[in-house]
Amino acid sequence: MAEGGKFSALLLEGLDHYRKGRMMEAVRAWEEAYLLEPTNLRAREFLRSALERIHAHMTPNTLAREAQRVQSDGAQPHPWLPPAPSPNTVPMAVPPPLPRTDPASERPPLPPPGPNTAPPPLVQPWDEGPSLAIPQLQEESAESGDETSGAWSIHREPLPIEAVAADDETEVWMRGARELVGLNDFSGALELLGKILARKPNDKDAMQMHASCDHNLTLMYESKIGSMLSRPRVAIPPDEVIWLNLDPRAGFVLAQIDGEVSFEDLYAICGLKRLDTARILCQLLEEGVVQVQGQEKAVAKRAMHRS
Amino acid sequence: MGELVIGIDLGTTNSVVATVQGGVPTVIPNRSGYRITPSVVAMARNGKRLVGALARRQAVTNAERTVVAVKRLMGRRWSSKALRDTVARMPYTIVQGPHEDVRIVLGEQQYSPPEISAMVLTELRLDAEAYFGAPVSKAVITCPAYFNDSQRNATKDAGRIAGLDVIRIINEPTSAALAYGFGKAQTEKQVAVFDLGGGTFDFTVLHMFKGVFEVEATGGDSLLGGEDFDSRIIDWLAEPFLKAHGVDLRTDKMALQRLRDAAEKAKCELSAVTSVEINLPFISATQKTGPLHLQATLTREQLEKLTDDLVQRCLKVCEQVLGEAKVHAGALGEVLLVGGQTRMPRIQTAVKSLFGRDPSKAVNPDEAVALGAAIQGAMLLHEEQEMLLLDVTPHSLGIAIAGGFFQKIIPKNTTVPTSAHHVFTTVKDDQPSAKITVLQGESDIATDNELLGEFMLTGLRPAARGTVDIDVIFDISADGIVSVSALDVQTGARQSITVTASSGLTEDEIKKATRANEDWMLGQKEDPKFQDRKARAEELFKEFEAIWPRLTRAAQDGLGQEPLQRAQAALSVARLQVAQKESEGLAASIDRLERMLGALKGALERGLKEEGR
Repeated sequence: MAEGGKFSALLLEGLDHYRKGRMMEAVRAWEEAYLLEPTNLRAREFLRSALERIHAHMTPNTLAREAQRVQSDGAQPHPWLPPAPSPNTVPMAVPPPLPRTDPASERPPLPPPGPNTAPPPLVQPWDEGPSLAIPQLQEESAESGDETSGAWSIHREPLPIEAVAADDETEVWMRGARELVGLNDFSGALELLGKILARKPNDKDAMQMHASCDHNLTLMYESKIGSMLSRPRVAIPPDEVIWLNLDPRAGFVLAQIDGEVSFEDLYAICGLKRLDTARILCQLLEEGVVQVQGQEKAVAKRAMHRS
Repeated sequence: MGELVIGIDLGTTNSVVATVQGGVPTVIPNRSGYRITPSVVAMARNGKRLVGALARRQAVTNAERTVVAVKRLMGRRWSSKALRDTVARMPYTIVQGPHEDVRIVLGEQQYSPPEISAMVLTELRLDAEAYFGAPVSKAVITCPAYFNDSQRNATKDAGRIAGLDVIRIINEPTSAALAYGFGKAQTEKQVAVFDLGGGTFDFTVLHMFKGVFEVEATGGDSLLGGEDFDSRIIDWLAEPFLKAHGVDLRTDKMALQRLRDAAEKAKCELSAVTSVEINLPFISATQKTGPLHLQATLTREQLEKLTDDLVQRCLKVCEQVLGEAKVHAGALGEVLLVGGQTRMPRIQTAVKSLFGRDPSKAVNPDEAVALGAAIQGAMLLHEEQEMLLLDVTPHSLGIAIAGGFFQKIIPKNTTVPTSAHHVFTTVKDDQPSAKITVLQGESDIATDNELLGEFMLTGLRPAARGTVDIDVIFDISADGIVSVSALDVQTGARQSITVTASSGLTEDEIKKATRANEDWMLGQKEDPKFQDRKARAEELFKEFEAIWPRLTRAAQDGLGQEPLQRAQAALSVARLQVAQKESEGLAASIDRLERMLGALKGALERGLKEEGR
């Protein structure tokens, strides 16, 4: 399997564990994914979320059981987990914070989790991706005094220890989608919502959440694109286009870029969904395949990553 | 600056606007710098009205919301055969209008053909105003020589809706002849105008003498144009691709749009060079092979082979029209080339071989018609000695007779003004009345022709069939107005009608459309940044509106009234800013509304989550 494929598989595997309450397995899958692609924000945020939940909910007994299990497996205890309490020690109320290190270093950094530590409101998962802040309730909740609102409130929910009863697969997908929205993974949520809508095209909740995710994701991409009135142009010679890694839709969008039409016009003439056009444009810009006058990138990369 | 007048070639595929400056006819480039504007109108998926090149670029991918070749629908009745043929070929929805006319469904609204044409004319008007830096209101617009009165009136109405005072509608071949400088020729001349545009082919023989222009004969093929040449290239590219990869690019809208653009580009380039490379990377993909690219080399010779039958069709039409006009090809003084497709070297050699002389190419074939219209406009405005433009009836006129047949009374290509009559008789014993159905067309079958009007001649004397004589008289005035009367020869009873050519729109409808167009133009004059913000604000208003009932319920279920009150206040402020065009303030409001919307949606979603648990 290609690295990208393995990475995605690990993310999904972790998500499955997470949904079923198997936090340790989730952490292991996501950690592996994270080590494969240390700069991938999604893996880092998932891992952080899982660790936060573990720290928030694990009792000394469960930590001890985990340590025992690890010992019997002959594996090393997980370095990011709090140490299992010895029979003589007093259980820690707050686990020690994890060190924050440079993402480029060998051991990827993780923010300090803790049950009573509110997540940093200004650090968004997209800070290194699309630059627009994701609409959240934090501002509102600060005014209303409700500390549990906002996208991070998922971390304070009770841990779903029992596996989800698979009475209806779409119910499971819906719960998964909500969790992904809580993790600000709108594209992941859209995938699940798409599956729900394929089975239940009139599901109102799914439709509403789909529209909301679509909107948020579009805003994120558009914030990276910049002014809609700018006129992008192709930044690489025509004979090099063939060496890019594009799909036919991206090829079509690229073919429409001629330095004369604005981004807004591209939305109109491409005929794709706004989100799809925004995603493709964002990728083309990030890869340096196209550029806007005054925002030229020094080096144009020649391949687009697919995740 | 004196009063400004523009000449407009309102084409089926492309339109051009021109003016006369300092005595020199000049094409006015559009605001993108091009001298030609595609006659295409679209409603993009994001609700934006697109006119011209942008609309054309998405014509394949958004075919059902893109109006092309609206000229074919101008002034047509819903029941006409020509309309039925056109409707079958159009990818957009055409429905019956309230006055037996046609309406085009574009987005959530219906538009008449003159309204759609008005959108193109408005674009040209705005281009001209940007060029002059001053308002423009007077225009001369061209139409094909075969357009009937309804079609001409529809063109005039389109001009009115676009805010233009249409001072004259002139025939396209006449206009082209003016551009070629025949307006002031003192010698008698017979010229042919070979007009191969994007979607239609027209061939006209003109007789000119001391400023008198007479259309001697006109004909054409309304389904033959440059786009057919493009289609041949598309097939030439797509067929081998289908064989090699099992993928028919013509069934994939995006691939087809790219093929069409590349085919047109290659065709144009082959008028100057002998071979072109066509490269379309990532045009398709299969699971097995991954991305697929299309690379091909097309030579001029190959293109000529691919399109030879189309060229022959053009020549056949020419021979037919020359036969009708009883003119020998070699006797023509000049052959003028009009329309972009006549740049193709093969067309020029074919014309040369048919007429035995080199065609005139002195004027850019894309621009000749518009330049001629501008010349005519300048002459009318400056009250120079007006030329006399004599027209012919482009179609035969007559009535429907027993058995469902058509009896011609005025044949095609008769110079107007004219008058003709024919005596008919009753078909039943004691027939009390006779229905006179006035038709226009060339078919012997009545229903295949265009209905112009009908009336009853009543009070016929009781008599055996075949003994009552009814004289039907057709009159066409110099203005092209057709009057038909029927006379009971024995009793002198008479009934008549004047065929009032209508575009299909009532006066009220035209006024309403004109006001709507003015409002749209005001919007266009807004700062582009403000336009973007206004559009975004309107999207947000809709989104709030959509979730408001749920928010109201959520407010009662614990969310509280305060967030709703704050949202309502922010929405009111934003609406006021839109109305007062406060661009900067609106930007801040949009930011605030976006955050509020996200927060409120989040609250609703969490509510759902709680319910689902």
